[in-house]
Amino acid sequence: MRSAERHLGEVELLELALGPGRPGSAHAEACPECRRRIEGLEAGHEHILDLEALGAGDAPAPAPPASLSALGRNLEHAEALVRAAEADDDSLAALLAESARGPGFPGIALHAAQLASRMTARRPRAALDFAGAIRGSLGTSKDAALLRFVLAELKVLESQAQLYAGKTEEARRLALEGLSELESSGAPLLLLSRARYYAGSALWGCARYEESLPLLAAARDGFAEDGQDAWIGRSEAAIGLVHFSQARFRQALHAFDAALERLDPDVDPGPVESVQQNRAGILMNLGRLAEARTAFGQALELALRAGLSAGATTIRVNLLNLGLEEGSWEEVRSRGEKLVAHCDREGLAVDAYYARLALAEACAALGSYGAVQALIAILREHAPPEIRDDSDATALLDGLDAGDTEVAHRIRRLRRYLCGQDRAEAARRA
Amino acid sequence: MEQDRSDLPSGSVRSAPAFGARSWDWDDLYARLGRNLISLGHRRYGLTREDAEEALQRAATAIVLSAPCVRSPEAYLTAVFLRECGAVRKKRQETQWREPALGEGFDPADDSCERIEVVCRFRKAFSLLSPFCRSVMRSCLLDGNPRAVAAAALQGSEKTGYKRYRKCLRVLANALG
Repeated sequence: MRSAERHLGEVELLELALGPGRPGSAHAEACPECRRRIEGLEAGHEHILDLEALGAGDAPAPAPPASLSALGRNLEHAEALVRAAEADDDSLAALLAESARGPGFPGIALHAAQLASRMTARRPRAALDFAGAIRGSLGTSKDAALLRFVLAELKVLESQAQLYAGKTEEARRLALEGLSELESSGAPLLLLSRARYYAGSALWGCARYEESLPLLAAARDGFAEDGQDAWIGRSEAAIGLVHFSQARFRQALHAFDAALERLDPDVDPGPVESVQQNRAGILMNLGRLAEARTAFGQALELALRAGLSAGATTIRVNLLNLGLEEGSWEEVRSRGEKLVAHCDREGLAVDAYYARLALAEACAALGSYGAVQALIAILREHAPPEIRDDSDATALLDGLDAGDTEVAHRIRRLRRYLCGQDRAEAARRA
Repeated sequence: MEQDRSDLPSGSVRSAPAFGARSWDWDDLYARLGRNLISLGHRRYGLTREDAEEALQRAATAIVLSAPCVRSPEAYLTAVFLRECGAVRKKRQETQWREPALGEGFDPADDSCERIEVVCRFRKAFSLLSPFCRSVMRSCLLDGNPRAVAAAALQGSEKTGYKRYRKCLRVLANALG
């Protein structure tokens, strides 16, 4: 086929349809198929402008339906329940009993289940207890469809909490069940997209990346259909994590950048800090150390400003790793010692583990092999479950006992594996 | 790696406390935006005023179910309303197909469903662009401003602006299928 006979591509068609003062296209003039598609796309121009340009004239404002007018009150009740759960005092049982007596309780429970997702990261156990308490108070309702929604939303909530509690398989089961129930109940697209987002996150937690990605993409598209920018940003962040986990660093960077363009650090400091940190980690893996330092600095500044103390500690551990990449051994040793003490004091087992690894490598580079041996003994004895359950990490840890001369090399290998570089190199070789 | 998604402030709010940053008066939004939306449904998509009002009320039901998750209320109400309009038109068309056909040329072809679908697809496609790119592409494609203006807005060279513009066009084209 000669190029003049080839149909125009999507981008050319769109440009011809929407571009101002567009030049003529010889092919489009002669091709009825391309003309038809251009006309179809031109309609979009017209209709998008309609939404802004069309005035309402003198039409009276519509009266809000009663359910919408009652929304503010129901949300207040739901918020009070969640605050009581967060306060962890005895007020929840009394409040719940009082709310459950009213006919509007299923609606309040539905909102409370959605609001309580903010508890899952910090206090997953409390979120699970709250979901159980709501379920126990539901009883029967005339509105069976609403009741199904509530039960499905409670499963979505429990799934998030289980994910943060480290029970990934349980999180996956609950998320997929909740999603399936919402789908069969005809839930609004926003709730479906949100459930897909959490199900995708749970699948990521189970390392089922191939299943996770389509769900997260569907969630992002659903949020886009509803024009919910912040949720699109969160979906992009989760998509970035999946790419990161599969060592597709460039795609991960694109997704994280897309997330940062949409998330507001004043409204969503946690997700923004998390994305900034992961993005900095990728830059480090790609060897762009100066950019990584700047990015970690931004993440740390936000974490401190927003009071995200656990996040700030993780960033400091990552800064130790960056120091090792830069060969700043002395600095890593002095900062590492303080950080290990801080992590032990705060009970941050995973951060303490990684901080000790970095410290051990710095000590090895400085020739303090006695300190290295002592650190390895602690690493092997007190490896948190997240590390112990990882067969690759365990195999590497088992080989760490080979003697002073081999220690530095092996620790470096372990650290490189744990921060994803081995996977990156395997991907590059493939 | 961590997925932190709930470190959210919990300020005093009335209607949408999930994310704490803003409070929305849903009644006011419904009345203010609803008037324009009903007019759009009626005048542009050929719905009767009653059908358009019904579509708006169904959109309110979706809000009642998912209010704590809504982050952009105006966009949400518009999106759900448009989908409900599409559903009303589809139902109407299905009913008409079951009825005896009128003589040729008597009843003009009704393309309102297609029009609603087009506007929904375009809104979704633009949402997939970042807010900054969206405003640049709107400026170029919908308001007819030259690409040089977009490049200036990007604070980059004309070449960078052009590359970004082509990338955004690809995103839009992919989303529009």
